[in-house]
Amino acid sequence: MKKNSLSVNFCGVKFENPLILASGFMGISASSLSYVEKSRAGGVTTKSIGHLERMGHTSPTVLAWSGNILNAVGLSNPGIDQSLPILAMMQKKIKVPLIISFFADTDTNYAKVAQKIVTLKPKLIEVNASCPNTQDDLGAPFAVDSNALKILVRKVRKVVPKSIKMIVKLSPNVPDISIMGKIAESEGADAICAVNTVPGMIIDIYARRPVLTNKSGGVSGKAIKPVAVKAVYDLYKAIKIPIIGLGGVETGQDALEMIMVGATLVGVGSAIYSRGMKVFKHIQQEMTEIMKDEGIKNLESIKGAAHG
Amino acid sequence: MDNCCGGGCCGEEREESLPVLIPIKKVITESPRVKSYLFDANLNASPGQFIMLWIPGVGERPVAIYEEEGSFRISVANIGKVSGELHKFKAGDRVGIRGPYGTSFTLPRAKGDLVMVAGGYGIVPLAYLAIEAQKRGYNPTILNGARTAKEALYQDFLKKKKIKMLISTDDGSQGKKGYVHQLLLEYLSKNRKPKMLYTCGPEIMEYNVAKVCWAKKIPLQVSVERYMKCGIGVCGSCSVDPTGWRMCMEGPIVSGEDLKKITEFGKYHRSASGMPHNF
Repeated sequence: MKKNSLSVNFCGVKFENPLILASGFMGISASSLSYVEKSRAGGVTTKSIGHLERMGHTSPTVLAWSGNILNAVGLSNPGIDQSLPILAMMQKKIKVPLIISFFADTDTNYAKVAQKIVTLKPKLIEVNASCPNTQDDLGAPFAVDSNALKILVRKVRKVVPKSIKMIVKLSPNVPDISIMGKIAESEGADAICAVNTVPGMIIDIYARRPVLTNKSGGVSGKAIKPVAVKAVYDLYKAIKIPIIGLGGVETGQDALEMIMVGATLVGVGSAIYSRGMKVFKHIQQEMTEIMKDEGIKNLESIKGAAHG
Repeated sequence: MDNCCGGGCCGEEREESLPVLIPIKKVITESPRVKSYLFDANLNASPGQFIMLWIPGVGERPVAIYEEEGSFRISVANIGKVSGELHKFKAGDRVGIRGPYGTSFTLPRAKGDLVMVAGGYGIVPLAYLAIEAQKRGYNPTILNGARTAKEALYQDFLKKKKIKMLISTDDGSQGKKGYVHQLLLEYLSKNRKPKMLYTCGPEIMEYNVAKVCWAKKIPLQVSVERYMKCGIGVCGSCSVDPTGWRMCMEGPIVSGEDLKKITEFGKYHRSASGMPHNF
């Protein structure tokens, strides 16, 4: 068994292991990402950066239940102008591949934010088109409307040179995610990230109201794993560009499942809560053990294996 | 980091972090700005740990706790939306509690003198620590710093528990006039060498106390407060530079040696958006 059996190539970028920190978790500063990097993540994604500074929703914004998470953080971020030096510091400090995630309220503002990020010459950027918790002020996510998604990806691609690989993060809250994947691909996306959270709500029966101040939030964690696995399965059949599979990955078995339906990289987020910061290390150990038992030499050999 | 919160960072699996509504047993007015709330419940928290206090429909914030057999209490200043609403609450009203979270103060192996330096309502976890330490045969002294005599909290309460306390006030209305780190210097000048010093209060005060300890080589533990959203180690809001430690998981209680590695301590902190702001 070679030591590098977990390494993968994603959009021409080498990852020592396929586990990446999902956007929204920890990615607030170079220091917090570095802490995740030291916990042996293969790559890290920043928190999504927007057009303007946002404080996010009023707490409670993050709840855990049965090892899952319900969140309505509300895309808090310092805004792109104040974030540029923070992002530059991340690029300097982080040695594993860094994905810069961003969002905006309109497609024009998405392009404006993208233009500013491009000045940093990142290798990988993520167009977060699918936050479900900001409907009240940002409107419905672009990724649930095929026409809106098409124009968005087109406008962003126009300002992002081909040398920068553009990942589009999709929502599971659509009748057929493969249609959205095809649209993003045809408008120039280099990769797809699937899936964002599923809308959800928790009621405190004694208070007789939702616990989140925002009332509803996005569900992540093992509760949505089958949803995410099916989404990646459907996308893999429909598109040729690589996929980051995420949603409820907690164990080595979960990660291999994601790869077998077609993911090249696997996102990890909520498992930081359920298994602690060492989750990246634990998943890799579990993957390596299973691969050894099953005679799997590298991850490329099993990518999409579940499609027969 | 040698402290451990026992939740997740060391591999222990975690499931729930939903608030539980519990009724307030009693409300005590401590000062013009601060009220204490007593609850007939135990959280099995260690001194220094915190809870997230939820007022349904209003919001949530981290709060330090004082606990004893069969009950716990919080002391909250009326300074924001959540605390403002809480100040309207009476006995019988229910608030949501989740936690306890974070690391706690630890006692040194060797028994002897301990010093707790409190600023404002930083007295809450230190009072809890002092009483626990006294029960275990240590000799704690609290240096309680406040703006005015009225705001030097827990005086009667700690007197009843026979905890030694010295007071400093900014305006000189009680005890030594000036800041509490000056009271600490005066205390230490009497050839005292505590086995451990603990501090909790406004960060600039803590920073001044830490500088005294570092210069005099007194081991210390500090409660580091940062803006918190989740309280459970996933959002990154309370991560500090340059280590990335999350103050809800690897903190809030940090040893003096680890504190030296947190270069932002005493200088800046992050707001709700994640933007750094100087103190």
